[in-house]
Amino acid sequence: MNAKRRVRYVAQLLDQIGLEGERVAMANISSAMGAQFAELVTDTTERLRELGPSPLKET
Amino acid sequence: MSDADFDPLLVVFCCRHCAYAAADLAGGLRIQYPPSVRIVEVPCSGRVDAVEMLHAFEQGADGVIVAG
Amino acid sequence: MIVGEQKPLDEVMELLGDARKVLLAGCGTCVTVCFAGGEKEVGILASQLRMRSKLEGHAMEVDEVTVQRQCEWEFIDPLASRLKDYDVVLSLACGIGIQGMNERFPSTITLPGVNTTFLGIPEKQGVWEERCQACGDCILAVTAGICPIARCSKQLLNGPCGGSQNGVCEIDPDTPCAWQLIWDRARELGTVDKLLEIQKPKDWSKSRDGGPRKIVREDLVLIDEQTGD
Repeated sequence: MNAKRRVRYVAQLLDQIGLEGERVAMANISSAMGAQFAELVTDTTERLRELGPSPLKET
Repeated sequence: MSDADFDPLLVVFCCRHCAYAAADLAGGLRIQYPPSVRIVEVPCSGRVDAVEMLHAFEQGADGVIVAG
Repeated sequence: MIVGEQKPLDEVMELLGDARKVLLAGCGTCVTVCFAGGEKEVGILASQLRMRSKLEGHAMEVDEVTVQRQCEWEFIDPLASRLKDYDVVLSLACGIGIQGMNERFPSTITLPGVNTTFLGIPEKQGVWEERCQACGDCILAVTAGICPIARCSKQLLNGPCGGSQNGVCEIDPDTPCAWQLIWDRARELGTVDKLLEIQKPKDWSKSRDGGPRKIVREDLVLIDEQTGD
């Protein structure tokens, strides 16, 4: 729960900087969820690909 | 470099007992996931502080997941 | 304790202007416990400043330091030798610490990164409330240990006023009526008779109305070894 609130806080901090807050997220994965873990990181990677590289790397 | 070509650097802070074990299981089951994913094992997702997430971005991450 | 709040990032960026080398200085006392300017907040703000300035195309170098107390010379003196390396210091201390830095290091500009808000108490985690206005003449003995100077919107000495409704202040429904709290507690303690005495106008000359205040304790002031004074 605390981690989730902290992730939301960091999303705000990123928005203030001018980085997209959606670049940070929380996920709940139990130890038996191997397939879901792979799916999560694959989907997130795709989403980030659409979003484009972090603007910090372009400057 | 067009956006479609780039491999996003995704940093995943994984709880030792949950998501890290799940990542291990994914490996054991030979399930493919992008090689650009970087896993950081932490004792608990509650251990990950705001400053650590910010530092990941400062050092070039395109995205961060805290997985518990 | 002293309670403060960090200034918005946009305002901090504006204050820093075109500074390139910034020392972000935290304080380990009051602003640490109210999460406004301790080591942790210094780390977060420094990282934000580095990334934001880079995105705006004028990357700042931001170093971090936190001293135990910025309001005492002994704790800030060790910073002296480092200051020449920076265009500016951004202090996350309260107004006292920020002025301490400016007074002790007159050739270095120290800017405020925190708004000093009030003297108060962490009512519960994440919530701070004002409790004292440092009026210089404490009346808590007659007001059942609850301060109407800090907590009554009208600073009444003989309350409550007609705007107290269902225990809440008419100025703001989220503020409990201080005088309701005072009467309730006095009833519990059996000291209502104290409240029935009319309080005379307060001597505000001991507060800020008498100008800036100063305390001198002759028994504590160090004696000059040369002169013996």
